Amino acid sequence: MADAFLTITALEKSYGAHKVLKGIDLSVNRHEVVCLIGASGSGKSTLLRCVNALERIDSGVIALDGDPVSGIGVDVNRLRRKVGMVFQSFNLFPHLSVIENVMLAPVKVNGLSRDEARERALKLLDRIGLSERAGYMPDQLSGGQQQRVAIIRCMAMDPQVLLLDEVTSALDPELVGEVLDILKDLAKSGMTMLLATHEMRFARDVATTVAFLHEGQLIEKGPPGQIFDSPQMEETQKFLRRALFVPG
Amino acid sequence: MSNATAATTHARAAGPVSAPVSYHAIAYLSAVTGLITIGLTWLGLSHALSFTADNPGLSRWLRGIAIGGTGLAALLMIFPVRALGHLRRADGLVARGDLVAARLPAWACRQQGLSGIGFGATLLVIVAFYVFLTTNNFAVQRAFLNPGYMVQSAPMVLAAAKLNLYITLAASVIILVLSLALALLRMIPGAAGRPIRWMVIAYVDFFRAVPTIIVIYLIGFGLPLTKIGFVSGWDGMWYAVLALSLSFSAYVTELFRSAIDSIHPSQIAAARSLGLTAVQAYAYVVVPQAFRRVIPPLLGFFVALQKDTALVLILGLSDIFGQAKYFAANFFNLSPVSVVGLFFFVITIPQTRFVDYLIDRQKRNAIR
Repeated sequence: MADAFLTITALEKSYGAHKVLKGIDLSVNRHEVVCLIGASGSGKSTLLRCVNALERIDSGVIALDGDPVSGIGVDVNRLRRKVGMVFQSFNLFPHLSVIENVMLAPVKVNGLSRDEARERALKLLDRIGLSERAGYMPDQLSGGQQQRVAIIRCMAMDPQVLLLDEVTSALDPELVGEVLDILKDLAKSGMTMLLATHEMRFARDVATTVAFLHEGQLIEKGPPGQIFDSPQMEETQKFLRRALFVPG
Repeated sequence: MSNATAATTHARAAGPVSAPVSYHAIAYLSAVTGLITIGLTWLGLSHALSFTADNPGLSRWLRGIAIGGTGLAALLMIFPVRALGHLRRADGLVARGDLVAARLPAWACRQQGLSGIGFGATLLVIVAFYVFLTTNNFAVQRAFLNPGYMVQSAPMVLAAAKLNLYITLAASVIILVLSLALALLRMIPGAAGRPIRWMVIAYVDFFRAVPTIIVIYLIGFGLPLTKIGFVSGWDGMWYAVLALSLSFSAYVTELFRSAIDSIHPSQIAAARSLGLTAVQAYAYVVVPQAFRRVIPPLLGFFVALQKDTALVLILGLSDIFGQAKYFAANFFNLSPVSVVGLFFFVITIPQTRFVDYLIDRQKRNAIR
């Protein structure tokens, strides 16, 4: 892995006595899209939250571009400027309008002028076809629109890697497509992404690597064709049989 | 009645009876209470006339009240009359076996009957209050609501309300700033913040436990006694402001803290993941949202503060209550103090209604 951008080594994390992550090794190359799949509670979300330092890790190393970013004494604010994160429940700021949601971090963190930030925010909103909703409040938008704004809010900080935590799980089925389309565009533009997802179809289409998590361990990983068509491990086969089962 | 009984037997044969018989009881009870109300209203309202035989002018007024009130009571008979009308129609329908059609007049009968009882009871309470005011040759009215004394004292009493207004405004500003600062200090994380958190908790506990009037008394009389230049030479009003600020800040700190606590942690996670520092996340994301939630209860405390400014009278200040007490002592009559009560009634009711409106609106928005 010559161009490994994000490397996770022997990562362990417990909540009290409950061990959630039992030694995860994973690396993400530049311009790669890594999909984490696995049952609920397998540790996908925790892994993403650890990478963004929203959870303190117990042991192991997370390195970004060769720089360790985990552990005590690390400047988490610098880390987070490089790493964007999108959440399952959007987490837009309800007291700010759509464009102010997008502008907040560039103005307060990067020190952009409000005019400059507004211009950039409008361009980003235009990219997802929501520039006309710039003045709306988040709760006036549909779930899909909110999640698109949340993604753009992250992109406004020019992150080098994007973490996405089941970003379509809280959406009505007919709204999933519009969010996945944006992620596909981002992937095409070369964005490095690490995402937890239940959308197997999306993972197959977009991922460069699929990693299967089972009870806090990374059981199997590989290109989507290999994982979905000829999974080697029994747990993976079992999970995929259930996940890919189409009733009727 | 006999018709209805016959119909009931008939209906039982036809199927389940869904119309309860209680509407009969309600209609007749309503008629009886209506008649009793008329009688009691006349007795109560005309009672005062026995004290004013020597004052024809006042007697005319009181007779007007008695006749008007009794007329109103008679007017309320419209409810039982209507109820009885619906009752007859319902009974007629039941007699014909048309139970479904009977439900509507039965329902109307219950509504009218209950309305009659409700309005009648309310009128009787008002009459009772009138009797209380006028009994024993107007003793209560003379002691509390003497129009002459009220008019005479009102200008100076109301002018003294300026002091209460100043105290309210000055204390409000201090309370807002102090409480927000304390609430944030209370939330400093980690081991380093622990002693600070404890200090804030101790402050809140202490000032919530000690009655406000004691705090005012201790500060207002205590600090000047210390003869420490910095705190002993103040104008009396500022001791009142300080004491009320300390006391109310304890409550408002808790209010702010619970509001900040109520903002979902995912909001902080989102802000931090965008690179905002913890302080920035609180300043731009958490506190603005918390502040919105806190506005209605905060206004409630603002109303309470206005009323509690009347406590500063124990410091001997000429606030609205102090001024009124001065008049009351001179007149040997409490009517000037009633002016104070009316004053607070008039200024706080619109505010409380406004708070209710805000809370309602917030609930509606939360549902949306």
